[in-house]
Amino acid sequence: MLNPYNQSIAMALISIIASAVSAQQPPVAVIREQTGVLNFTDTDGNEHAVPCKKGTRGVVLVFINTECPIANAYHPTLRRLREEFSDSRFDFVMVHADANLKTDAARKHQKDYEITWPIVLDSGNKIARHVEAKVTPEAIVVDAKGDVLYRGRIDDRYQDYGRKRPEPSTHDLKVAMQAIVEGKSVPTPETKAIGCVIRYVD
Amino acid sequence: MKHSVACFTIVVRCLTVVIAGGVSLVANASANAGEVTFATHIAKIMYDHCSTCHRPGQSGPFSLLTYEDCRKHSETIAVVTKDRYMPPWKPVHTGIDFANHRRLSDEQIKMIASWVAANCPEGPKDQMPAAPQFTDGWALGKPDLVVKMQSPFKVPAEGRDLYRSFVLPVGLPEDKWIKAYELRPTARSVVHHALFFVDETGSVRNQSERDGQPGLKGMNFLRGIGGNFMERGPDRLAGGLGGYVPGAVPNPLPGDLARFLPKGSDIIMQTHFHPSGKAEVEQAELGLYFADKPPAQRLVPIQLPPLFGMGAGLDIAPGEANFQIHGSYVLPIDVRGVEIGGHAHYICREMRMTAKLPSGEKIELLYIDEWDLDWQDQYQFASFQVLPKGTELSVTITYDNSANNPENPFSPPQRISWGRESNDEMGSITLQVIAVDESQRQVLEEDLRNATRESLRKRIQSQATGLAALGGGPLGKGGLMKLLDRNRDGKLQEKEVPEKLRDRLFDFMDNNGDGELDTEELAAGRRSLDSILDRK
Repeated sequence: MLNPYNQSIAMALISIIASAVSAQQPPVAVIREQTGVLNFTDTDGNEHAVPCKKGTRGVVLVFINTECPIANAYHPTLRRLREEFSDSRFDFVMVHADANLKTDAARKHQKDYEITWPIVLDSGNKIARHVEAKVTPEAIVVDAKGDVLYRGRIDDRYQDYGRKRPEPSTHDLKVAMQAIVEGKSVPTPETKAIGCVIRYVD
Repeated sequence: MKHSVACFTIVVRCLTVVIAGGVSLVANASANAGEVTFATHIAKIMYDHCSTCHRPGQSGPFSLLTYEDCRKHSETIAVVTKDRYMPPWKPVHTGIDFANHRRLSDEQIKMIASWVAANCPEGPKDQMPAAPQFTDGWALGKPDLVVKMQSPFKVPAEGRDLYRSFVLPVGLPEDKWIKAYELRPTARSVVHHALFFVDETGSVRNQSERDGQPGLKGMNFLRGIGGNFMERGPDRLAGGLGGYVPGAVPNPLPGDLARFLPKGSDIIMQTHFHPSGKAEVEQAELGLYFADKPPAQRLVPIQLPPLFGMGAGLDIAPGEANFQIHGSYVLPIDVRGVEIGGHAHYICREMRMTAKLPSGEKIELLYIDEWDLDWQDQYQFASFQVLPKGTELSVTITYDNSANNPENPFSPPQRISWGRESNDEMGSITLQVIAVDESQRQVLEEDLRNATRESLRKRIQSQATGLAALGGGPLGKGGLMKLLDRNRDGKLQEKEVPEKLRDRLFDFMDNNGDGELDTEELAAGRRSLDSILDRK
């Protein structure tokens, strides 16, 4: 195993080679340049941050809502995703987009849908604002530098409201995470997420 | 092509909005300087069009009963109303009014957008309309009879949508007339809609659980369609009870009209489930409200193309993006249209039924431009449609079997033809009519039977080579049995019949739906075929 330092050198080399071969895509956005570092705590008291914590490869934020049927339908997929990438040093966080959600309601929802990810209540929509989340479910992956490596849907099952594929044909978030693990640039760093529109509180 | 049509529609819509918007500004100016508030404008729209489903215990995923509820979901409300995804109402407005329609006007949609853009002002509390009152129990009061799924069905947390039919055993000793019905699912988040059919044979319940799970796959209850057609006539086969969206206000039929439920019948409920992210268990109840006496006029279904499109040549090559089937029928007597609804599966895109009156006037009775099998409703005309003798009814149903259709069940696309599974296709619009002069009703029924027979004949002829080759000669004269009855029990079990021909044979001949064809069924099937094909 490479230590993080060597690994980052290796990744830098890979990205130089990659960019020499084909022009590397710029990140979707850079968070730190805009708003700095945002730290927050999940319902179990653990710390998370955007840009991601030290020692992690990136923070995977998925915005959810207890009352959004499209977001709720994705919980089995998201549970599996965390299992598949359990050894990849991602920091997984589900962010409740409803700024007024109470802890009890979040815990009940977590139990009902067998959610294994850390859960964060986002009072004042601070996290959503920080990363400019728009809908639930929407996935945003941010690395240590604050680069947004992926933003958008979990997969392409929903093409539009009421326009649904029987099965997804591209697993965009998973593909992005796989590319990040392999040190490659994310093939499609931005996709359109379909779901319930987040209402920002004043 | 579709694009240009869509663009045109948008332009027309925008014009309408501008005009309507102008009118509304003038109208509201006196009230409160045109500001759109919840109390003065939005509450009534929400209560009238959203709250019946969006309340606790109903199918809507969240409640829209108060100002706070609506404000909380306001951004989503603005987007899904603009998209016309919500409230779910598939018919395009062609000038015909339907009873209890949920459709929002362009003006109402614009009003919602302005309200959300203005950050959802609550408005004067003294002008707030009273919140709607709903009964916790059955919407129309205690039903005359409540029937229930035979056993609970487990809906998994994830995966493809499920399409399954369940028997609701009724089996009454006398004929009944159904005035209205209401469905109460136990897992409302996964049940989007249901379609109801009458099983007059009372035999479908024996087919239940054949694959180890409650109910039947797809529309397998349509087995024995050939034999049953000849015995009972197309009016009975097509005579579904209609579609129903859980949570919608049940629509009793107008006047003394009611739907026939012959003695001994069961009700088949065809249900479409969406896995919701957590495992659910469904065991729905159906509340039935009966009429006191038979109606003076009986509903007659006109299904075009007949038999759910069975004989309409539904055979769509992979990649074909604009495949159409047609059906037409000229009314032999004066009728009144009472209600209308369509049926198709995943790759249907558009359906319409047009009536061309003897005067030359054309009425678009039903036009659905973005078919969605999630929302198969039965649409009752707000007032009876006057359809004189000589009126030509035409139906066109369009399918998109290309890879560009996200709802295509196959990737890459495959050939799709008529069949009872959800990945097969069907297609028809059913118009329920009454005869203006009830003594003329049988003229219509007999004429429809002939039209349906013709359509069945086409289907059989298109497949006749297969059937004849299988029997080694004229069907049913012992050839088929000798050839295929490997265990020599004098019956054909499904596994004895080559898979390709199984559906065809059992569709036509397995009248009691037991998955076996005995000599009697084969002979009856042959008589049906001979009669349909006018063979001696």
